[in-house]
Amino acid sequence: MNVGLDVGYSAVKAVSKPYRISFPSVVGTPDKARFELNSSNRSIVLMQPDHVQVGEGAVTQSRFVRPREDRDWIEGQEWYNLFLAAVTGLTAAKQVELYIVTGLPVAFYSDRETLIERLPGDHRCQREGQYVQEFRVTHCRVIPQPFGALLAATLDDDGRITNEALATGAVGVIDIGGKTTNLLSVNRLSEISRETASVNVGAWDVVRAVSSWLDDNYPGLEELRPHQVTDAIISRQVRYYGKSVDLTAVVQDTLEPLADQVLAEATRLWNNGATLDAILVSGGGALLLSPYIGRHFRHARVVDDPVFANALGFWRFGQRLTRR
Amino acid sequence: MKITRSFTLDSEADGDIIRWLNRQDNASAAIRKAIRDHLERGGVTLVDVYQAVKSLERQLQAGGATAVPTSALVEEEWNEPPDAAAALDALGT
Repeated sequence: MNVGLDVGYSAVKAVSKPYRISFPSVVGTPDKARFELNSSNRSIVLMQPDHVQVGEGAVTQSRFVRPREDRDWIEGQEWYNLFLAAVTGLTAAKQVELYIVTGLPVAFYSDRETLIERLPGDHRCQREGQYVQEFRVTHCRVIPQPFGALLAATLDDDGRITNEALATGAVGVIDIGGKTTNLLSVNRLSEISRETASVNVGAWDVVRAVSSWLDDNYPGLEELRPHQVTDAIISRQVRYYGKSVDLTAVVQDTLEPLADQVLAEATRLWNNGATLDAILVSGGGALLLSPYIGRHFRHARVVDDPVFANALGFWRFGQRLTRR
Repeated sequence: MKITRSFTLDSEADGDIIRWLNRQDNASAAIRKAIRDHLERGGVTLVDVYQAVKSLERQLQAGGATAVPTSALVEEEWNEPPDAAAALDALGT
């Protein structure tokens, strides 16, 4: 089974068509609600090798969570549990061979050997409600994370180059993740390293700032989950005691400094972008920042399905590698 | 729209399925996932493979097909810019 795996600091996305999954990058203790009306919750509990709760369930129910945001987290058990939660979510088969393509942030790409040593081989685990599963990772390819969005736009589901303009052109990618924004410059599908960098800001900075503002100004709205705050930011409004609250001003005040930081780095790398044939904007923050990016780079455009674009591109690249 | 389907189980012959269903928090979701996993494997049986091989054998004997190296097929089908394709294939190596 070919898997495109995008383990971000804020969320895990995995694609193995026709399936795709996403859950928050949170690992915690396996506490569960004792009373629950909705039994079809999105709780992921691994029974072995570690007994932990992963994803949305860990956010809402775990008494203790283990957030990791440092570059060494790919060596830790939390990252490993996120990986296992992803592959057990894509298949319930007992024995599976995996061909994995995954990515690392541009700034940490030199750590790729760590993943290449860690993932290949046998992995045995059990997810609650499923049989014990044995995964054998036969191949693992690690590429710079934002390449995923470019490959999603360039390749078809067989991994064949179908967008020749992107494949043969000079392309910039602005990949706005939860906590990191990657800027990638590519010419004829080769990375231009001097025009590639990372910025330590992301969409969660906006979500946190708006949550804090709501908490200060509208008591009760601190209960909103991050994805609900994200929806409110996109629609620029939120409901409060049955009435609509306009968030335009606070969202603008929050987004502009973030966009300024991203644009400052992009401008340092690419000047006004005139020599780039296209600029692709991807990641969970793409829809939030694209209006600001579009003002500076008029040919910038948000890719299809920006949240899953990297994982989809990894999967399509894996399709190519397994066919050739 | 929700559609309800019922099916029958034998308490002895299908005991393994009944025990598995009893362990599920959400039996409907578990059944849907199990069926999808089956469908993902394409439902190809050894009989299908045997019939496909026999069909190919008949075509070759009748002169209706010619064996071509796989690499040639790939090159013919994938008319890609060579330098971009090479850069892509080397990505992450």
